[in-house]
Amino acid sequence: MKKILLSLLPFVLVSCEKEISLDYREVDALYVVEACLTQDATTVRISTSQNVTDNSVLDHVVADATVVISSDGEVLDTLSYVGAGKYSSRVRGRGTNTYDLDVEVNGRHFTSYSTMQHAPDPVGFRFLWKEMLGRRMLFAELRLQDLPGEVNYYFMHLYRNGLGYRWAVLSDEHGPGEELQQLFHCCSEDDILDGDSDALADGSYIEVEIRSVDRRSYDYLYSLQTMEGAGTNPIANFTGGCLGYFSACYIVKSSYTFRLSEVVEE
Amino acid sequence: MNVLILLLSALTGLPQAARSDTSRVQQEELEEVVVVANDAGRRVSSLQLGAEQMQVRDLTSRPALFGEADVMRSLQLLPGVKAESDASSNFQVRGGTAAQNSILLDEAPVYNVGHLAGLFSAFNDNALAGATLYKGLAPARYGGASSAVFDITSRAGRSDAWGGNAGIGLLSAKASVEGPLVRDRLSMLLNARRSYADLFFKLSNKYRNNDLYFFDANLKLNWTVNDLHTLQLSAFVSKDRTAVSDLVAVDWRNMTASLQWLFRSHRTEAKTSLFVSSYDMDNSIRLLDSDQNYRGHIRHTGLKHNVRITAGRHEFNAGARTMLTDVKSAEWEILSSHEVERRKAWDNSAWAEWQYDTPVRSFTFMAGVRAGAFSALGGPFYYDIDADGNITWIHRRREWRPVKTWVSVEPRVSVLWRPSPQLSVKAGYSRTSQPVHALRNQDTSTPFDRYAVSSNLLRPQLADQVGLGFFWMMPSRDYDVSVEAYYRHVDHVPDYRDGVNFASAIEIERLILTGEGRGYGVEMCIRKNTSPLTGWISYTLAWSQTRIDGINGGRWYDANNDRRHDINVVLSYRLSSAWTFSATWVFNTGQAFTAPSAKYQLIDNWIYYYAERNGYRAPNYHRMDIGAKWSRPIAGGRMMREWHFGIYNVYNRYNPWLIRFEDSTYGRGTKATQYSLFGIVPSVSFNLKW
Repeated sequence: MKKILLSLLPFVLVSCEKEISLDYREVDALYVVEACLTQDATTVRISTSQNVTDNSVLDHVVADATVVISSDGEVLDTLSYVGAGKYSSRVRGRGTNTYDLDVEVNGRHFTSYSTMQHAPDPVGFRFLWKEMLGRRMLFAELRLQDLPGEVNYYFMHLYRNGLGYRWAVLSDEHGPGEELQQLFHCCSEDDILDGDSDALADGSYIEVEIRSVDRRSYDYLYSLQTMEGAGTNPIANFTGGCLGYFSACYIVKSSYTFRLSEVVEE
Repeated sequence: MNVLILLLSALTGLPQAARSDTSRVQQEELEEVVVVANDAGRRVSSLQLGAEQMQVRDLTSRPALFGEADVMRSLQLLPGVKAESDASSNFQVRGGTAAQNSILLDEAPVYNVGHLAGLFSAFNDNALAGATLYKGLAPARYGGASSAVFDITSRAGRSDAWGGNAGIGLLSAKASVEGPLVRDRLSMLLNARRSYADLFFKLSNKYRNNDLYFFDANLKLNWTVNDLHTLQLSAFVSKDRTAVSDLVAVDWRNMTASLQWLFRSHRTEAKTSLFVSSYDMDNSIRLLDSDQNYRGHIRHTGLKHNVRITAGRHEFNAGARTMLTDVKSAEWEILSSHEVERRKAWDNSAWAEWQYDTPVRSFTFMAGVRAGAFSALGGPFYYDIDADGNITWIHRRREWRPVKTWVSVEPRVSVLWRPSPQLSVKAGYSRTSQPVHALRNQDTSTPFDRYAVSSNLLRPQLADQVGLGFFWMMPSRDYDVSVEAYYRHVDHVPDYRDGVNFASAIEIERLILTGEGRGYGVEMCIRKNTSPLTGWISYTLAWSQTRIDGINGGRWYDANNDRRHDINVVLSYRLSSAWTFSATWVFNTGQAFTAPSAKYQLIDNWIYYYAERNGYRAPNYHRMDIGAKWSRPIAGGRMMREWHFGIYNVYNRYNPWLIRFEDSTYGRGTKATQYSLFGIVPSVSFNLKW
C-alpha cells in the first residue's frame, strides 16, 4: 500500500526533479550468490559487487568457486561451472527436504540452507487498465490458489523478452487457503504511447514464473522488496558475509504475448 | 504536472487574525515562566535556559508557506529548531526527532499536527493565545518527551463585547465568533476553518471522485467565577482526508478537550486540568479485489494538578498527573484476515521544584525532581522475542493488572548568575523520560507512523541534557545577544530493524531495535527589538548522532536530522500604520542521507549495497520568503480589513526533499535524482475583523 501511495505522491506534490552528481566512496567488492534448487535442477550464479560508477555487466562473475549441495549431511553433488558465473547440477528438490549449500571461493566459505516446497497452483493471469489520478495505468494481475493446511510463501517474477521485469513476494497470512492475488504495476498508457523503455510494447513476450519458497527465502526477498530505495541492506541469508540468497523452491512457468487490444478495462 | 499540482500551488493563501492581548492571557492567567520573544529584559533575567515563547501577533507579521500564519512553521525559525522537511509542520530540536517532542494544547497531548500531509499545521492561529517551547531543559511539571516540550495555550474570547472575524484565502476559509455569554463573567470563542480545494475537483470529470480537504475547529469557554477562581473549557478537533477515486483513502483525526480550574490568590496559584485527547488514523486501499484497511489510534485521559506558592525569595512548584494511555499500534483488515495490537498503560508522575533568589544579589537557582511510574497494563498479549524478533513466549495478565512498571526519577536544575542588569549566565541540567514511542520508516511523520507504549520489552527513552548560556542586552534594550551551548544524550531510542517496515508484523516490538543518540551544539542569536525594524539573526552549529546495535555495524552514525550549520534571518519592518513588510531567509547544511557504496545483480535487477548509514550530504537548503500586510480600519473603526501578500521561495530555488537512486535495466549507469517540493509560491488572502 505504501509503495502505491509513494508512487502517487510525486504526481500530487513534487514540483521539480533533477539529476545530481555524487562523489561515491568505493568499498571492497563483496561476493554475491544467487542460488536456486528446483524440482528440475540446481543453478547457482556467483558474482561480485561493483562500484556504483562501474556499469559493466559480465566483468564481475566468479568462475573459480566450489559449490556443494547436500542434504541431511550427505553430499549430493559438486556443481559444475557452465560459464558467465553460473554453476549447475542435476540435483532436484524432492518432497519437503532441506538442502544445504556451501560455496567456497578464495578460501572463504559461505553457507545457507532452504527447504523444498510443494508446487504452487496458479489460477490466472491478465493485464488490466486502472484509472489513477486521470491517467490510465497498466497492471498485471496474477492469481493463485493457496495450498490449504500449510503456511505458504510465494515469489513471483515477470520476464519481458527474456529479462526480469517485475517481481514480488507474497505470503498467505492474510488469506490462508484462499485464492490470492498479486498486482504488478507496469506502466502508464502514456508511457506505452511514448515508447518508454520501461513500458511494455504491443507484442512483448511475457513469461510468468511462480515459485513456492520457504520462510527464510521469503524473509530475505521481502526485506529486499521492502527496503528498495530506503538505504538499508536486506537481511543476511548466508553465513560468512556474502550477499544474495539460496532458495529451494517449486517453480511453475507460463508465457504470454502482450497485446494492447486484449487488456481488460477494470 | 497535472491539475492537482496546479490546484495545490495556485489555490493558496489564508487570512490571518490575532488579538493583541495574547501575552497577557498567557502570562496573567497561567503565569508561565518563559522568555518573551520581544522582551530582551526577560531573556536576560529569566532563570529557565532554552525556553522560547511565541506570541500569535508575531506570527502574523512573518511570511509563511502559502500565506498561512502558522505557529509550527514560525517555531522552525527559532535557533536550535529545524523543520522536519520542506513539507512538514513538525519540528526537531537540538538533534532530537519530531517523534521525541511533546505537543500540548491546554495540557492535552496532540499528535501529527499537520494538515495536508504536514503542509499546514492543524492549529488555527486565531484560536491561540501563545505557545512556549522548552528545548529539552523543561521545568519539572513537564514530562513525557525526550526532546522538547511545546506548550500551546488557546485563547479565551472577549468578555466585554461580541466580535469575530472572517477570512478567505485561495485554499481555505475560516471564521470565528467570540463574546460574552454573561458580561465580564462567561465568554466564548468559536473558530472553524476548512479548505475547499476539493470543491474544484467536483467541477472536473477527471477529478470529481478525489478528495483533498482539511477541517479544524476550536471552542473555548471562560468563566470567571470570582477574583480567585476561573474555569475554562476548551475543545479542538481536526480532520484530514485525502482520497484518490475509490482507490486509496488516507484519513486522520485529532481531538482534544480539557477542563481547567485556575485559582489565584496573593501567594498561591493552582491549576487543575482534566483532559482527553485522541489521534486516529484510518487508511485504506481498494485495488481490484484487494481490500486493505490500516487503522490505529493513541488516546489519553488524564488529570493534572500544579500549585505554585511564593514566599519571599522562595518559590515552590509541586503537582501530580495521572493519565491512562490507550494505544492501538495497528488494526489491519487485509483480505480475510483481521489483526489488532492494542495496549493500555497507566502513567503516574509527581514533581516538586524549589526556586530560590539568593541574598547574594546576582544568583538564583532552581532545583526540582519529577518522579514517574509507567505501567503497561494487562489484557492483551505480551511476549518475549529472540534476537531475530521471533516470538518465543506469550504472556497474558488479567485486564488492568500491571505487566511491567518503569520507574523514573528525573532531576532538573537551573542556575542564573546576573553580574549586571544587562548580562546573565545560565546553566541547567535535566533528565526526561518518554514512555510512548512513535516509529517511522521515513524522515517525516505520516499517517503510517506506528505508536508503541513501553512494555516488558520496550523501555522508556531516557534523555539527559546539560546547557550553558550567556545573555547580554544593550542598556537601551534595542539589541540583545544570546549564546547557548548544549549536550544531550538519549538512551533506548527505538528504530525499525533493517529489512522490515511498519506493515511487516502486527507485533510492533518484533520490528524494533533500540540504541542511543547524542546531540551537541551552540546556538547564537542577535535580536533587534524596537520598531520600526525588528527581528533576529541566528546561527546554530550542531551535531546529532545515533548508535544502534544491528544498524551500521553498531557504529555511531549521523542522524537523518544532522545538519551542521543552520542560519535564520527574520526581519519585520513597520512602514506605517497600514503597511508592514517582512522577510525571512533560512539556510541549512544539506541533510545526511544514505547513498549506495556498491551495486550488484540479483533477480535480473541492480541492487545497491549500503556500507554506511547517512554517510552522504544532500545539497544545502536555503530559501527566502517575503510578505506584506496592509490593514485599515473601516466603519468608523469598528471593523478592520487586512490584506496579506506573500511570496514563498522568492528566488525559486529547488531544495532537496527526496533523493533516489536508480539504475537502467541494461547497466547504463546509476542515476541520483533529487526531487523538490516547492518552487516560487505567491499567495494572497483577505481578512475582516470586527
